Amino acid sequence: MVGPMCSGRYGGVLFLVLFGCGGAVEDPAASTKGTGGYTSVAGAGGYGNTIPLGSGGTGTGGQVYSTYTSLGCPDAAAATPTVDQRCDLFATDSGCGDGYGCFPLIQSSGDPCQPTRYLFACISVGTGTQGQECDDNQRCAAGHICVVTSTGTVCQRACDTTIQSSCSAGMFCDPIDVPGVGTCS
Amino acid sequence: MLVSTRSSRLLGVLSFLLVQCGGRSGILGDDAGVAQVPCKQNSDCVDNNLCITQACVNAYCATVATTNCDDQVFCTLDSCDESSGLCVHQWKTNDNDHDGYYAPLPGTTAGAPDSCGDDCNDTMASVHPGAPELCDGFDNNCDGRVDEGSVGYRTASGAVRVTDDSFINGGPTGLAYNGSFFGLSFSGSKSSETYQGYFSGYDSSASSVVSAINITQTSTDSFGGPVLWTGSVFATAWEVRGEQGYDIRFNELDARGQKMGPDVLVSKGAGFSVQPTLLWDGSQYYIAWSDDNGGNLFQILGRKISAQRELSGDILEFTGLQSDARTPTLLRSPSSNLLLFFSATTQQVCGRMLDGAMAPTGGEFCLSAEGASNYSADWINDRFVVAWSLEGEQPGDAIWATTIDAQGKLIQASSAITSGANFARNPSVLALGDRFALAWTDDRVTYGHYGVRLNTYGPDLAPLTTVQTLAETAYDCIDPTLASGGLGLALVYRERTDGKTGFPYFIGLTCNYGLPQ
Repeated sequence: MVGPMCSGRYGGVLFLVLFGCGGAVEDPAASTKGTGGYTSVAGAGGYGNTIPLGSGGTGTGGQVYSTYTSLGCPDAAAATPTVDQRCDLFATDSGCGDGYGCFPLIQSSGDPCQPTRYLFACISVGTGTQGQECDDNQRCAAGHICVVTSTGTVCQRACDTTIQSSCSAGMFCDPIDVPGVGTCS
Repeated sequence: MLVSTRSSRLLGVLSFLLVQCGGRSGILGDDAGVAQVPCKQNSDCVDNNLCITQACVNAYCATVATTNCDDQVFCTLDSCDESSGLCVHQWKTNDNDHDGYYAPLPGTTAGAPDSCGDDCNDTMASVHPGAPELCDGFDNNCDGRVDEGSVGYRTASGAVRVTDDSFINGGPTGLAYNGSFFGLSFSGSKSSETYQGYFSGYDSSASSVVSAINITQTSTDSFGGPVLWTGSVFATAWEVRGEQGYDIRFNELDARGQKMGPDVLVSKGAGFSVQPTLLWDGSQYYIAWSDDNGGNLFQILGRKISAQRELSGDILEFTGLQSDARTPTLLRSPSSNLLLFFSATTQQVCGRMLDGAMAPTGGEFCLSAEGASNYSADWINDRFVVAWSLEGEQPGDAIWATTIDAQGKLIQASSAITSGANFARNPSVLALGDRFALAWTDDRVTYGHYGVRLNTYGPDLAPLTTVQTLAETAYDCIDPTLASGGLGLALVYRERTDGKTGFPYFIGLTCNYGLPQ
């Protein structure tokens, strides 16, 4: 759990294991220093592709990072994330067929000034329940989400942050980085 | 030789003394190159410089003695005043805060031999040897301990909600005092917007000093992070969602919350770089974070950042892949270098010693049994205290703690230091010189309903006060974080208003002495 760790320094927000943009990798070496911010190698777009293991990371490419100059994105405050809801994460009948569950996915544009896109889509489910390790949502059972927590990347039961918590006693419905979605932690 | 009436200089008294002349010495040069004044007797030889004595020698005036003002005191600059003939002994350091005590010479420690000053903070008149220890986050009596003997109590001003009505949720992420007010960082989102990281300021009476400022300013999700005060600026680090994960960024803020320069991208590569921790040692920053290197197991990485906000050296690895380590905390003791705490995949609180270059100086060690989570740590007096809660399918019923020395060696075995609840979580440890304060959340009043509690403990983990409730509403109050300063302490926490995600709240605490201990 990211949030409460270290005295709640992270504002109680958990991170969803990210479904990326077709393997696009930010290329900080492409930064144009002094002109404001970085440019990225744009992905092909599309949801549902898990991050390839080992993509990026330290020691891959030997990029030299320099001071990052914020683009500023003057309209960033007004940037409204788009949500594409193809199924209902919280409904008894999510709208997905047998063997499939409704999961939230995230797509961030290569353009840092463009809003994030969220997708609720049917993907095949796994068997992971509360607290069981995962590396993507497909490892988790229906109604559970794979999130990065303080002590592991685990499946946690999904909950709706806009209603009273339905988590068991002693547990919170802590928000994750998808609007309106939380997990019991 | 006549010396000053003070044969030894007590630190922290008068600036300089004029001492009657008399220590005349020397000879008496032949005044070569100087026009000689004929004379018949000594009274013919009068000089305006009363620091020298002239006499009539061989029918000419000659200097027969000069005033020796050397008082044999290392910390004085000695000279003779020509118009009066008196010795002047100027103390080498200044008393800038006019509290009667002098700052040490640059590069020396206050009170050390040849430091020429024992004021451990010459910018604050309330800080000097012998001063009463106040609960203000400073070592008022210069004994090396901060706020010893203090107990924090909630002020009458009560809790204030940090976010205005434009926010739909939020939670605190950091708190630090700058000598005037508390700087507070928090994550929050407004309707139809992503999460952003914000900075705001409150004084001890919970009055707003700095209105919430968006310091991350991204179109994608970004979050608040830890905040510290270096003595001149606030510093903070935060996560920003990139194309395939999160990056860590860093910046300094002035007292108005304005950035001191461009954001510094600290992490590299794709994947999750999250949960930054910051430390300032007086001359540079140390930063560490959790990083999955693009989809692998998590490691704790880190690097140094200069006081000029420039990255210093490359990224270093502090933990092995097998630890799958998260949520780092960097701390420092006066006698050692760095101690990195982290959570391991075994659900244990672990640590590793680092040197000043952030190079590991020993292996990883773990402090707790499996099932530990939500840890918090601080250095008190002569040891680190580390507290955590237990997390299984449901939270444990107590906060646990242990102590280790500056080298990471266990002093006390872990034990439960709270009781009386069904569920207890979110400890926040704050050193108070000879003791520590612990804020946490538990459900001791109503089953499953969390309130924020505060208690004070000695270094032996024994409770010194009774448990106070700082925040108890109809909604869960969770994630408390303590900081010292102002009238005493301050606390931020998240109140899950309406049972939903919640908002950050701030409480000013005052100090009371002499309470039952």
